[in-house]
Amino acid sequence: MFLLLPVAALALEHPDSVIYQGVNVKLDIANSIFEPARSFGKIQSYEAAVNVDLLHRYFPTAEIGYSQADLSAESGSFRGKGGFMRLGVDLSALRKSRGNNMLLVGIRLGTAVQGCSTRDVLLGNGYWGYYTVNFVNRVRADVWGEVTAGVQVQVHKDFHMGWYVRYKILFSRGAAGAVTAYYIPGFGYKDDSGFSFNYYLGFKI
Amino acid sequence: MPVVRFKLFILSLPLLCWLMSACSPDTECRTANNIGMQVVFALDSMRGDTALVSFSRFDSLTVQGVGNDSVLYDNQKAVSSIFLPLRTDTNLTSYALSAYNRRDTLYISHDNNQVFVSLACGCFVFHTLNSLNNRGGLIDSIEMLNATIENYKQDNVRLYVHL
Repeated sequence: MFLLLPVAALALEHPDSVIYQGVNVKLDIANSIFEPARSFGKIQSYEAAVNVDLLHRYFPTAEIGYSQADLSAESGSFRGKGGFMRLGVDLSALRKSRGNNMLLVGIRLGTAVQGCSTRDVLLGNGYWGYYTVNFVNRVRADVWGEVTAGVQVQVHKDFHMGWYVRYKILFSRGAAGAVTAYYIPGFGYKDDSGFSFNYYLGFKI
Repeated sequence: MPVVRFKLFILSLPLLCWLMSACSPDTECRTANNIGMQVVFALDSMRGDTALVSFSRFDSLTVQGVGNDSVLYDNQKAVSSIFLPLRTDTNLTSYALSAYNRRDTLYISHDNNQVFVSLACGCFVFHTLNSLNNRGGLIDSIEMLNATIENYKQDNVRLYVHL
């Protein structure tokens, strides 16, 4: 977001510039609507993105969002909620794009901060018995990188739709034995394969 | 019209992929979680033998944790090694052993190291052996081979027994 401010300020000073081509605002619907449905309400994730159109080819991008998750597995349960932000840039892969129809590739640096609790974690063995431990009210920060590819299709004048497929690599995996977050806002499951999708509606200001 | 169809196709493609993708990790533990002290036996007369062969002629070995109602090995035949889970709630684990009408109690002093693995596996408790002692007429002496006990198999202790 902070990276976009100087670009936006420069653009406002020179409204007729060929460099500045406008600002796009995008609202994600895949994670906001379908993820709660698919997880039976256990995960809620909302996110929006804003990018600045420079030369109709470069798009410095900021994405912000909020997630909360209430999940359980064989040996414990996890509850966490927090915000996330991704900063990066998209590049239009087509030399000449018609209107707002584009093929986009880009990179992101993502970070999330959440308050989380991991409860009822099973400990022990079958002979001497099991008991549980709790790791509650922890604040966890995570950082990851992404490579993105997406399509943007103009549906009506300044409105467009599109999708991103993201390949994510978590940088903050934590030391061996440390209690890490099972689910990371903006990233997903910590041990996920690394791919995720966004499906969004957008409009140009 | 073909352009609209093409746009619909392009827009619907990732939605299908997204809906079909399996985005939740395993909720079942797939990491080896059998953690305990591996004990091998040797005859007292074999001590110092460079080609030491594990003794495997117990015709009836019974092992039970002290303070536990469950018998771990009940009149087990042809035993060459035993696997003893250690207590995770305290630093002292005791086992009662009996064979050939002889009884012994093995006292194991150990440190417990709690390691969070995952939500599917929970916490593992690894151990470091501090000392081993016994009281009784079955075990002659105790040799500590590896003090570290984690979730892979290795011989930790050798017990020399009288016959």
